[in-house]
Amino acid sequence: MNTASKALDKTLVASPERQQEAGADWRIVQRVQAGDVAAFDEIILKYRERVYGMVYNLIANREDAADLTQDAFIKAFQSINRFQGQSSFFTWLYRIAINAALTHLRRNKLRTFFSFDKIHEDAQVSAVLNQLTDKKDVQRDIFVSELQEKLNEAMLKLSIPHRTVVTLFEIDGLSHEEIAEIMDCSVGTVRSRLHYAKQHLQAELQSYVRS
Amino acid sequence: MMNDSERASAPKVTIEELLRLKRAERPSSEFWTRFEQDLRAKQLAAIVEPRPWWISLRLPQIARALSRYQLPAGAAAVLALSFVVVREYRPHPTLRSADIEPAIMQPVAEAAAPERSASPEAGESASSGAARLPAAATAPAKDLPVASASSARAGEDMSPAATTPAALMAMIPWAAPRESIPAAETPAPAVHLGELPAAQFANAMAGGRNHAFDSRVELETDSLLTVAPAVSRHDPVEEEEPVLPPSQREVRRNRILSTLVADGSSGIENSRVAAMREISARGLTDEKLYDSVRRMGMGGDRVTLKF
Repeated sequence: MNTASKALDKTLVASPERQQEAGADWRIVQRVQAGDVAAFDEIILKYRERVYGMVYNLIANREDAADLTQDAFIKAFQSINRFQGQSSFFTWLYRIAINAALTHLRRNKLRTFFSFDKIHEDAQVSAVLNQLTDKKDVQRDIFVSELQEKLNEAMLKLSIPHRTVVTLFEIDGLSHEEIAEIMDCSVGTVRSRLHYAKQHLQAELQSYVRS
Repeated sequence: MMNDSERASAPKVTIEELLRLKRAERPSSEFWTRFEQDLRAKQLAAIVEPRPWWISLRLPQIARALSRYQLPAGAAAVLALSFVVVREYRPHPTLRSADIEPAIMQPVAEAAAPERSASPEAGESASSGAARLPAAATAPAKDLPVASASSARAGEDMSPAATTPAALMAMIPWAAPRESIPAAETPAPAVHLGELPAAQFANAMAGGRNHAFDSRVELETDSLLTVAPAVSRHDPVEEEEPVLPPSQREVRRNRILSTLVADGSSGIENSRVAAMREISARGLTDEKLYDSVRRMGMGGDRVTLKF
């Protein structure tokens, strides 16, 4: 077992699925580093939605999120020879994307334009929406749009670290350990930030949320 | 729109369930098609390195186009350089003063000789240093009223005894030997230094500081002594004359020296000439005095010196 695999075992011990995923990513990365540039397309197809979703939930603008996601992939492609497998490629790619998003947020601190993607209703989302309203058709769509706006406004009221923790844990489904590795902080800090962020969101969305 | 009463009565969900709605915000398939195209374009732009600016100048093409004109252009450049070098060539100005002095002294002596031979009165009056020197110093007669008056009086009584230096000096009250004049009465600040010959200027400059030099110059050369008070009585404001360039002053000085040399044969002691030559040999040149004059400034009733 090489050093990269040991590092992955250490950081992703709580998630065997992620461990398998990290191993597959490492093989693709080695192919790219060997000169198989087309292999990087596999990485793009695999992670583009997750990276985009994370960036979109951080900045709440779909056009900017698309640009930042593209920039993150290009930066990863340009720097892929420097990736030595000390962490999972997914973590490394997320870190690049988060840094790009944070830079964008700092540069455009006073300029915020909302641009939302449409909510795709599946069974779980429909159940939540049915609990919130019994309206149908157009009125339901209006309610969903209003809820989406309130939700994003509440998210943007959080500080960037708290928003990042909420996004990575509640929306992207990452573990505390992975978030700690991506944000370069302790797991306790992640938990603390997550707790504070949920409290703040509950206060902001109290008309929708059960206490 | 949902009002507050409806929201209060609405069933509530947890914050985790609410945030799950955010996870359902996903772009359409068209969005990903456009995303793919943009990403490819950015990848290609990142791979292709920007060309350096000097490549866009196409220097090799320009050099190739100008290659047929290399020989004529080079010849023209050499020709132009030669022309400029020949035109701007100057001999090096480092010539020894010993080489220059005879060349200057010769024409000055020749110019002084016909002047004396042309007017016998002038030749006679040349024997008197008091009347001769102001004229030789190229100062106008109106600039030296006292000296001109004394010359006119001397011209009325043109006996040989009256034209001797001692007699002329006795006729001019302020031209008496310096031993009889108290040093405190000399109006030194009124001297317009730019008009003085070299020895007089040195005399005026030295004042009480260089008394040995003062006595040597003033007592041994009566002719120069007579000039100093005359000039010192001039009004510096009215007769302010620009400082002459060193070349003219050099000519004037050499003319005085040549006159003194000629006068030495007519009765003035050879030691006087020797003293003047010694002074000139010490490097008390007009160039140095010219520089000293530039260090001086006169304003109102005071004279300033810069060291």
